[in-house]
Amino acid sequence: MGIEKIKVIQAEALKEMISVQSIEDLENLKIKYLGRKGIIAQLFKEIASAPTLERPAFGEAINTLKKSLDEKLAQCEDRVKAYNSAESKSNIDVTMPGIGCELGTLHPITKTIADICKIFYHMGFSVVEGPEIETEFNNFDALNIPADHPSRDGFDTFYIKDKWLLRSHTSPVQIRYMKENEAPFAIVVTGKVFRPDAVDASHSFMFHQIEGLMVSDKVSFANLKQVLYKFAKQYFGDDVKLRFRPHFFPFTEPSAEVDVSCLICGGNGCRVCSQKGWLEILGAGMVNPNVFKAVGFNPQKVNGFAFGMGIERIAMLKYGIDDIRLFFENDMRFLRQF
Amino acid sequence: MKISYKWLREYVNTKIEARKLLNILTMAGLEVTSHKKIDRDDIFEIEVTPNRPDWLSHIGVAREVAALQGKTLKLPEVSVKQELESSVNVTIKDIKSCLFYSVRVIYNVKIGPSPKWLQKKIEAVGLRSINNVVDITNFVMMETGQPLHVFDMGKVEGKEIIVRNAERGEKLLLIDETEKDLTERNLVIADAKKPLALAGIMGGKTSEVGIETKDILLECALFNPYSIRKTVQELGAASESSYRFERGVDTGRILYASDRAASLIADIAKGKIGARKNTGYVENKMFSVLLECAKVNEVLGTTLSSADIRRILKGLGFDVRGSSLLEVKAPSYRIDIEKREDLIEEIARIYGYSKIPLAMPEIVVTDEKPYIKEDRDKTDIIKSILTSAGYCETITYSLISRDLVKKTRISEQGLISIRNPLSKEQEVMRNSLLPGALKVVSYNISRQINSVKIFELSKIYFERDSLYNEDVSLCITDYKKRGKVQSHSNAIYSIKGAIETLIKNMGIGQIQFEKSDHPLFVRGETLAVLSDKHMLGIIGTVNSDILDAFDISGDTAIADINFKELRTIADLKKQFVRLPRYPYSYRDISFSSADTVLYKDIVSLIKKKGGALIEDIEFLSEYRGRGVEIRERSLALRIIYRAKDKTLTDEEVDSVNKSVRDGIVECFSATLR
Repeated sequence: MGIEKIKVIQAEALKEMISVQSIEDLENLKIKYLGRKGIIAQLFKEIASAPTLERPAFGEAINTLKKSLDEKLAQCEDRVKAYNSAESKSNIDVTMPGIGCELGTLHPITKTIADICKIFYHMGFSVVEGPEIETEFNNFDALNIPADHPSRDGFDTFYIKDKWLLRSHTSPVQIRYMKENEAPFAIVVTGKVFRPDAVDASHSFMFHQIEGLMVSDKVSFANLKQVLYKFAKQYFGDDVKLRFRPHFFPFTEPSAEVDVSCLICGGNGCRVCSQKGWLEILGAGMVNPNVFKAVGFNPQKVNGFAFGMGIERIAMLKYGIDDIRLFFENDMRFLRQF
Repeated sequence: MKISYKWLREYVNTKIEARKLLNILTMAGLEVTSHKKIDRDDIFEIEVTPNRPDWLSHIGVAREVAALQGKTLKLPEVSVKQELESSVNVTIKDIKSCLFYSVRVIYNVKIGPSPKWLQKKIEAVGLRSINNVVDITNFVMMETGQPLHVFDMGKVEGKEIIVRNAERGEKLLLIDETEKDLTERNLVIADAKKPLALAGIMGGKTSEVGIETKDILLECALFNPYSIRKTVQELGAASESSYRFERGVDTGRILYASDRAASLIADIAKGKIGARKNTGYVENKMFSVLLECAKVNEVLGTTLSSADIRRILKGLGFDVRGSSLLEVKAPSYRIDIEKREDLIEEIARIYGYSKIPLAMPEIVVTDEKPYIKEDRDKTDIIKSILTSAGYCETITYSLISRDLVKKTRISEQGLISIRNPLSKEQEVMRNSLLPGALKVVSYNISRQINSVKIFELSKIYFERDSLYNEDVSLCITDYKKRGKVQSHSNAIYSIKGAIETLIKNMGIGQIQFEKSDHPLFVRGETLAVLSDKHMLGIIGTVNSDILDAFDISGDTAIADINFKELRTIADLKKQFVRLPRYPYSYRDISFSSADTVLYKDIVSLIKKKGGALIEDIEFLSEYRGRGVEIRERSLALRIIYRAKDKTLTDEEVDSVNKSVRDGIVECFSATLR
């Protein structure tokens, strides 16, 4: 009975010693155990009430405990004294700033393109690039946008000479790819495009696009919807909703404009989405058979879907950037945020 | 185009709330971009895509609403009370440009302000009320989509109309007060003597209908869209009429529109209606499109029944025959229906895009690498290395001004010009990344940023041997606000270090930096970067006069590297090299020598004297100033000695080190410290 108590007291004492930091606490602890009215003193008093036969063992155990506590408290005292001594205190001011290393960053457009490509790559799409200086045929005619037709309105381009121009979308790369490759395939195309737009907070004469194209003998609009849903959820978050609105593009039929539920207000209406609750982010549709004909594919044997989006717009929505010109001014304080 | 909801409801009996209708139309492909409540009416601004010219009228939109809501279209009844037999003769000289021309004379009209209901309708859709007759023509155009025109008969010389191409040199003053110089490519409506109007586009001022007019000529015609478009572009004249002709009008309703206008004019402006004279021929080609129901479901991924498909098409006014293979005839106003994909789109949008299910496609993963461009891993590693080294990636414009090129003294050879830039800033395609880099430095300085460390890995463009080239180039720039100091902390060394880091981590063995010249860089601070025979690029400190031109004051160094050369010699395969088994010893050596003695020569000598036992030579410091002679500098180096097969003894090391020390003294007349 008594012996058990001693073991407990020993363990308790050691535990208390570990947390002692100051000389004062140490003194208090010494008094608690070794003082005139301390625990050891108490224990000695209890010998009298123990059964006679047990008294010698009890007494011996108490003495052992006292010796042990003496030793441990002495060690504790050494430690506490050393800790509190003037020599061991540091005299540097550690509240001064740390010396970090300034990392460089990838441009937010590069990051956005990489993030988006990764999502499509995981779905099985390969990434293709192509020239920025293009022919009128690849940029317009092959995409069912003939000259002298109202469908060419709104497709202004920079011309170099004769039929050479700067591509106004990345679709020409799809034309090139289809001329060199057979179905089935799934690709995304990224790169710079150019349009003679006056530069302001939401327009730039140079920007980046990513377009996707999947062609096989049995691709459907349902597939297009699913692929875009998967993309939207992975890029913008699980809660987003998509809305497909009928529209017109010369190179797709049926065509759609795809809206995502507003990233700021979640669809309730705010300034960013002009109170609509939706943000237009993509154009998409089933490839128009005239496009297949232009590249030598048989529209009776294959069909395909295509989609496209402007990278700057997507990045601006995702990161809350309010002026497209920031991407090309390259202010270090802007670049360092990404 | 503006649509008045109140007006719309005259053609279709719909009671749904305006906001709801807006949504229904938008989700069916007729995008409503704005909605205003004006005068207890709802005015929608709709964006009509080029493939649906049939939506450019109230009846057209009403038809769509009827199809979407399962209602019937109510067209106004028209009856023309012809009272006179007379008319005018019409000759069409160019039947390619004008396919059909219908004319009617209305005698003794009373021109005056339009009745209130007409004025309101005209103003509701954003047009100006002119007078009753002109307003009626605009009203019928906005109602049916068919453009009309009226002439003051009194101004028509010779009482005949000739539809012909203009002759070069003819002029025409239009009703918008502009005078146009005509060419033989412009179709005009003329009388015996002169042109009266720009066909299908705008009337002439002289034959304008005004308060003095007594008899009017009502024109209702069909013009070739291409010919209208060409004239619109050439003369810079456009109108609501030309807009509709360019996109296509409903050939089935031309005469209805003519009758509608005539009866309204008789009603409102009084006047006696003469006979109608039709010249030319309206082809009402309603050709059939074959559609397999199975194909619809294949393309959309739906499971629509033949009955569903037929119902949708019939609701749109199409004539449908068959059951699994359909023969579909589209009405005259659907000029966009040519092939089965056009029908599939109609079915999809009326059914509702939102009802089409989601299904993951089977994507065949070929054994292609994810990036079909072999440079991707090299591009990524360059960016990774440079960002780790503290450089931020920039993207600058591919088009720049010629002035910017001149400012940097870069050669204009092969520079590609843009034929139609919007401003000077888009005159040429950059043939170097350097001007853009300096512009970024300049911009940042103007925003009080004291240190700029950037790189760009991007295309430059040039013409060579009649071919347009696009090559990827690498430009690394370091700018420090303080001026150059006589020390090892100048920008040129940061750039050199960046290159050295890049080289080391791209598996490129030895590179040599050789003195070179470049108009952008300071003489004596320009180095060509070579790897054996490959010229990788050039680095240097930018000349102060060029820095001044960019308002840059501070120490700026740039590297301009040819990415193609770099990737050719890069080797990203890693191969393990055994760790050394024996410890190293080092000896520091400090000496002063003339500052014309180059570091690379010192290193050469040390290696020669030390032989295989020298593992590395570390640069410790350079010192100039007190204690060192003028035109001399003191260098401190650490030589690392290690043998591959044993631990070197102090004596062995000292012995080799002595010969190194002696060599330095002898070769460079150095003074050991």
